[in-house]
Amino acid sequence: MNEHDDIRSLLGVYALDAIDDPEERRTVELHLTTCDECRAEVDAHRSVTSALVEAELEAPVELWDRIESGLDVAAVEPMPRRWQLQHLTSIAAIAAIAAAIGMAALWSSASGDVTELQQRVSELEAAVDQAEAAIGTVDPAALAIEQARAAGTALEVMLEGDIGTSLAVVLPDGQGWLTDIGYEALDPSQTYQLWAIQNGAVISAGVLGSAPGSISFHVDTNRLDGLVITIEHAGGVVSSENPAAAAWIADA
Amino acid sequence: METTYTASLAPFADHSDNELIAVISSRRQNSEAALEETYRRHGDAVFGLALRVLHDRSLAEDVAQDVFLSLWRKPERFDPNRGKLATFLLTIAHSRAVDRVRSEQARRSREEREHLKVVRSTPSIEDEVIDMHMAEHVRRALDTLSLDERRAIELAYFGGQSYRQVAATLAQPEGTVKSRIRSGMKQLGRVLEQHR
Repeated sequence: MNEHDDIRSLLGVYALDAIDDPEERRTVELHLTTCDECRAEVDAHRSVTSALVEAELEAPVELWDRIESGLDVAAVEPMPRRWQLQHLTSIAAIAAIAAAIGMAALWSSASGDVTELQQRVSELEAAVDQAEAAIGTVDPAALAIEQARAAGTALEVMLEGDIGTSLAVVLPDGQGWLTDIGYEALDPSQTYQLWAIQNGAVISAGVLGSAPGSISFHVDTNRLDGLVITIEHAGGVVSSENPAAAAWIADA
Repeated sequence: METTYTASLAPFADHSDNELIAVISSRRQNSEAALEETYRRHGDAVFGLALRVLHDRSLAEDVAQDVFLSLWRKPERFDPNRGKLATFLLTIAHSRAVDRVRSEQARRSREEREHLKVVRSTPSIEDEVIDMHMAEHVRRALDTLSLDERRAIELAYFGGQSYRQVAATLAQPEGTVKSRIRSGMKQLGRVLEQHR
C-alpha cells in the first residue's frame, strides 16, 4: 500500500475529527492541500455528517447576546495565528505536495469605525515622533509593523518547531519581517534559511545566517500558504531536502 | 404593516446563505444583522451538535459562540464551492467540541494519576440523553449500514472518540475501524444522494 492509500484510509476518520495524533492529522491536512480527489471525499463525508445533525434542541435565548458582545473585540483585534507542529514534515515532502495548493492567505481585517483607526494610527505616529526625538533613531521596520498592527492589516504568525519559535509579520504588500527569533546560534558553517510556500511551490525567502536577529523578506501574499525554516550549509541552497526545523502552515 | 414588521425583525430573511456571507465580509453597518440571521438559521444545529458531543450546556454554549465568532472574524474561510454553510459551521462546531472532549479526557487522566478524583464514566453508545432528531430519510440511510459501521461512526462523531478509542471500545483492530468508518460514510453519502 503506497502513501496515497495510507492517506485515503484516514479520510473517513479525519472527516469525523477522529484522529487525535497531531502528526497523523497534519499529514492528512498537508495531503489535502494538493489532492483534489481526497479533498472532495472529505467534503462529501462532512456533508453527510451535517445531514445527520438536525437537532430539536433550541439554543439558549441568551446565546446570541454572548456572540454579539464578542463581535467588537473579534472584529478590531488582528488575529495572531499559531500552529503547533510537533513533528514536522520534511520540506522535501512539503515541496512534493505543494503542486496544487488551493488555500488563500488568510488576513485579519480591521473593521469598525475607520475614523477611530485613523486616530489610533495618528496617535502612534505622534508617539514614534516623540521617541525619535528622544533617542535620535527610528527603526522603520518596527514602525511599519506597529502601524500595520494598529490598522489591523498585518498577518502575524508564529513559526514553531524543535528549534524554538519566531514571529513573522507580513504586510499586505508582501513585505515581511521575522522577529522574536528564539533559535540557538548554529555553527558558522551552517545557516537558517526561510522558505515560503506559495502558488504551489516552495520558494526561498532568504538566508538568515547562523545567529539571526530580525530579518526582512518578501512574499506573494495572494497565495501564501506557509513559511518554513530549515538548517542548511552556510550560503543556503536552491532547494532543500532537510526537515522543517520550524514552520507555520495556513489552515486547510 | 405585518410584512414591514416581519422584515424589520429579520432584514436578511430572504437572503441566501452565500449572500449573508458576502454581507458579513463587507463589514458594512448591517453586517451584524447578517450574522444574526446566520445564527438564527444555524445556531440551533450548532448548539445541538456541540451539546450532543459534550453533554454539557455551558461548554456547548462556549463552542457555539466560538463558531459564530470564527465566522465573523474569517468569513472568507467559507468556500461555497466546497459545500453548504451549514456543513461548514457544523464542521467547525464538531472540531471545537471534540477538542474540548479530549482536553477534558486529558485533565481527567491527569487527575486519575494524581488520585485526586474518581474518573467519571464516559457515555455509552446507548446514551440517548440528548436525542438527535433525524429526518426519516436520514434514519433510513443509517439503517443501510452494518451495525459495526453505524456504531463506529456514532462513537467517533457523536462520542468524540478517536479511531483508536473506537477500536478499544469495540474491541476491533484500528485498521478495521478506519475502514468501516470510511465505508459507512461512503454508503451514507450514496443513499442520501439518491434521496435528493
